[in-house]
Amino acid sequence: MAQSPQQQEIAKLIVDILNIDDVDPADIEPDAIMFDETGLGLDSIDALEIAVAIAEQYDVHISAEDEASKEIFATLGNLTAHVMQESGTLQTSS
Amino acid sequence: MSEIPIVLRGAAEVFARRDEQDISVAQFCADIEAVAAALPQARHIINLCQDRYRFTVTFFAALVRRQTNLLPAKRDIAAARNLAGQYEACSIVTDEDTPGVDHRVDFVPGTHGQATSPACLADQVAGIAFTSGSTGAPVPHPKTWQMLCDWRAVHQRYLPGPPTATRAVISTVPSWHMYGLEWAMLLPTVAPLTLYCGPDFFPRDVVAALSGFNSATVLVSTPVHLRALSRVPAPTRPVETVISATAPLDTILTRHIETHLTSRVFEIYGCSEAGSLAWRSTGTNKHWQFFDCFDVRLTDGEISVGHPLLRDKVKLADRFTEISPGAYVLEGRSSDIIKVAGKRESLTNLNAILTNIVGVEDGVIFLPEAPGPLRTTRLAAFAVAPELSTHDIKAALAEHIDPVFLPRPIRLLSALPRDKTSKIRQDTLTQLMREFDG
Repeated sequence: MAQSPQQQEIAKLIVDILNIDDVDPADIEPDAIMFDETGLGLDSIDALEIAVAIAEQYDVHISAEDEASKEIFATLGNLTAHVMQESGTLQTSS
Repeated sequence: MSEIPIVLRGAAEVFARRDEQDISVAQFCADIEAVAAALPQARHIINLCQDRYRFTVTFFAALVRRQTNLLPAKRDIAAARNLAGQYEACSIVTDEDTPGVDHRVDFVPGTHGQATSPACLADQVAGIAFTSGSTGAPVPHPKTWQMLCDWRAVHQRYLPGPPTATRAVISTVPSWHMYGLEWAMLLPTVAPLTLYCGPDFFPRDVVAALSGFNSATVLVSTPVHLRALSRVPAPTRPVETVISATAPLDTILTRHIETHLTSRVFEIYGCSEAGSLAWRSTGTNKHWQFFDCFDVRLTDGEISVGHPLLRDKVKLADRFTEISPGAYVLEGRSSDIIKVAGKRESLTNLNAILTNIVGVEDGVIFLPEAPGPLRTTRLAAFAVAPELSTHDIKAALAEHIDPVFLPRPIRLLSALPRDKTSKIRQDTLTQLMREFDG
């Protein structure tokens, strides 16, 4: 599945912030699970880093009280959709 | 046989706040009794409760039933099942609808009436913490109820701020980690602290919790969480006291946190073997002071710590210098031991795993300089592996080592810059990493 421009932007943010430079942002499947050993292998510290980066960049503050916060972090697609919904201002990287 | 009560506070005092509801000491004790009555017959309990209040109640309920709490670092059901197989009559309990557990702790907090505090046998093993051993098998560190009670009395004495004032404690550290267990679970059983039991992981939730109490607040946290908190808007109220542990805080981050949270930062030094051992007021004093209950011996930079309740003296993984009687400077880790996200690991072990990968001709894993005071440092690696990609190497490492120790980035070289003794100096690695990062 091809990434949308917004998903490309969030994928680049994740790769930059987490220093996982053996991963090409374009290779992150929008619906692949990010936080397990077969996917990107991210852990809870990464979740914290991503949450802070998204707060800084988009002023979207993720909370455990958001409906299904675990789902938000599950995939690139879910995370992008949440940021778009909450910010309404996600710019495309074009 | 002597017994010690679980709670040493007035029945009407507030023990916890959960879902905006205050739960009194008497209600908390009644919850413990009710959960204890429903726990399965067992000698050992692995408590996987996610909710901080339910975890706390279940931990003490197991004690009431004279069961021992196993406190593994790996909390997935497969790891718990594996550990349970190594302990006699071990039950896995949780508060969620998880397949594979033996018992579900399911109750509405504060709804079992009121009770006086149950008491537990002093010499009972209350909990067993684990560290990763050199062979990869977890090494157990048992704690008797007497030990936990002695420790909580010591921590109460050292807790900064007015000892009798009612305060709230908000913790970003889970209670199954010894540091969280001591400072954000046991301490409120003796000190007038209201334990916040709501969402406490994401910065937004922590800020909301810190803003939501009328009383003064104590934040029990780690450098990782404090870095995150310092990068988002501050709580609407000052945070009276910040306690940090698991890794040393640097001066820049400490000053930033103290300004940002309008707070004073205190650090705790400890280890899984003995628990919390020393403290310092980071903003004003870089010297560590060991708690006065410990017998501290310094030999050639290595410290061993004794206590009548510890069977063996505990040798610390870090090197210290005593600059005046009782005041110690942390000189750094014994060069082999590194620490990421509160977990210790031997670089020798990690390097052996790296160089044993088929296709890796040479390699080194090291801790690079921090990317900045507000970012978490991860391990990095250089490898000589003409036939492999960095992805291959990472996948091979992931089979053997804890994810927090997976190096990122991994850089491929044609040869490593070893000196005549075939060592690689840390500054050489740092320089090489800078060249790569351009």
